[in-house]
Amino acid sequence: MIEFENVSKIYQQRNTSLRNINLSIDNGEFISLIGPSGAGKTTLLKILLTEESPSEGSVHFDGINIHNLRQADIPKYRQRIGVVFQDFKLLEDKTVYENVSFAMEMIGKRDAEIRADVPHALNLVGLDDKMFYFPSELSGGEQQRLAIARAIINQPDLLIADEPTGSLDPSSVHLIINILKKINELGTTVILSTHNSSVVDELKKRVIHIDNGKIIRDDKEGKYHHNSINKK
Amino acid sequence: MSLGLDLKRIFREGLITFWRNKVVSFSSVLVMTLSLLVLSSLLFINGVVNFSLNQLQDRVDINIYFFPDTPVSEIKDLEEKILLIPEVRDVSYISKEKAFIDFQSRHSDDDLIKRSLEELGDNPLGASLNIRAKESTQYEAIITAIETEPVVSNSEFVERTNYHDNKKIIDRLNQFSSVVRGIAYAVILFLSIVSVLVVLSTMRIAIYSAKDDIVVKRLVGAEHRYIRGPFTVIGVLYGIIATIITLIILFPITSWLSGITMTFFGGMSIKNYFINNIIQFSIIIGGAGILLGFFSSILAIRKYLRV
Repeated sequence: MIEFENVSKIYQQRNTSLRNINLSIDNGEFISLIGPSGAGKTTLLKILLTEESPSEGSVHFDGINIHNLRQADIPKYRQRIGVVFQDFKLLEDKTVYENVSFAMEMIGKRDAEIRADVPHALNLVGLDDKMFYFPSELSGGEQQRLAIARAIINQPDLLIADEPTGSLDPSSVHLIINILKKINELGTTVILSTHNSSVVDELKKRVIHIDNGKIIRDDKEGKYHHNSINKK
Repeated sequence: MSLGLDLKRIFREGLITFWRNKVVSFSSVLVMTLSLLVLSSLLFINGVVNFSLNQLQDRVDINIYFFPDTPVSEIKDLEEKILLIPEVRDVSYISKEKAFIDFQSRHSDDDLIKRSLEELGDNPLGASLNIRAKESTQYEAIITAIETEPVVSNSEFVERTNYHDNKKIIDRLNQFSSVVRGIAYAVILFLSIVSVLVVLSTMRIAIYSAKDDIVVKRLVGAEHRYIRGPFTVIGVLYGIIATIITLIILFPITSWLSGITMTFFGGMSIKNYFINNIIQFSIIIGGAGILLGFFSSILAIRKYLRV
């Protein structure tokens, strides 16, 4: 489904964020992307979202080189991906309902479909009783659940979650990870970038460890700390 | 997606954003209203300058004075020919009788002239043609055309023309008019550019305040028309509301200023000027407001569409 081939990202000829990344992700996988801050995780996700272009190498999504897409085709590509950001990136002037319905309007869904699906998605993330609230009236955990509802409403092929639990309390973390697992079980490929070791350990899914712009570990059913690295 | 559904969503999005961002909308409409008021004042300046210059130009004319015994038919023939000259606005025939009456009434207080006329016992004055051009710059062309007419070149009929006497005044008036118009147009152009730049900056600020939302929309796959569309709706809405407010405000302002302009500009009431030209004012101000809102929003949003 996704192929990174010799991808490097160099900023201002000195700062190398990614070095020669080769990575293959299949349909339906759940991947935990781990590594210290500044390791290159976010750059890798930005490249996948075409927010950034690689300095070298290429990224293919279902066989298409995504950085060769025309500007006009990028929205169509992004519509196949759901994204959950650490800082939520919600539309502050829109209600909970509108934040989700907006994503459906983007892909041309009919009003009747929107009216049927949005409450269902909000119910899935436990926000059906706050449909007409604005994001500023929600807690951090609720805002992140709203971001997830928006990300999954169009049943994307891929869900990218960049540090979605970074600023949340443990109960919210548990809830959000359960939602991500559920989505993955329904067939969506999930890439979860996280620092949360207990989440990664609990998932027992593929773990890709990035450090200093390079993949230093790729375990099929890994844990946050590799046995040889974990000295504890 | 169908075009109708697309447009409906873009309009709704624009209206909702306009309504929910009340502070931004209020300040943008306020700035646009001020810009349209500046534009309106330029229309008034143009009107006042034209009115004043036309009044001056109306006082300038040329006359052809005929000998008393020139046949009326010759003068009438010439009048018809002069009317065919494209630069001529109007020609009036002043008969020798009327010229005599006018002369008498002009000098009714002058006993010497009165007595002289009584002694003469006959009307010594000839008929004349009074010619006015559409523009004061056209007198030279008119006089050139007239002088080719046999009745004028025939010195048996024409006593004199006063073009050459008036030439200096006409030239000076033309010079004055072109300087005044030049200054008025320069002021209009300068203030128009300032107004456009002010509106553009306001729209940039309005869109800057929504830049995070634009980035989010791009990242969740919104197409350009879905991001740009609502902002152009908002821009046009600013223009429409600002136009309505401007037209309403102009009524009391022009009423108040009319007294001053009546005194200073020889009886011109800018309130009447505004009311008589209300349709043109609405079209120009409305057109400017809507186009300004539309294009300034498109220009202001361009840089945020490159995510």
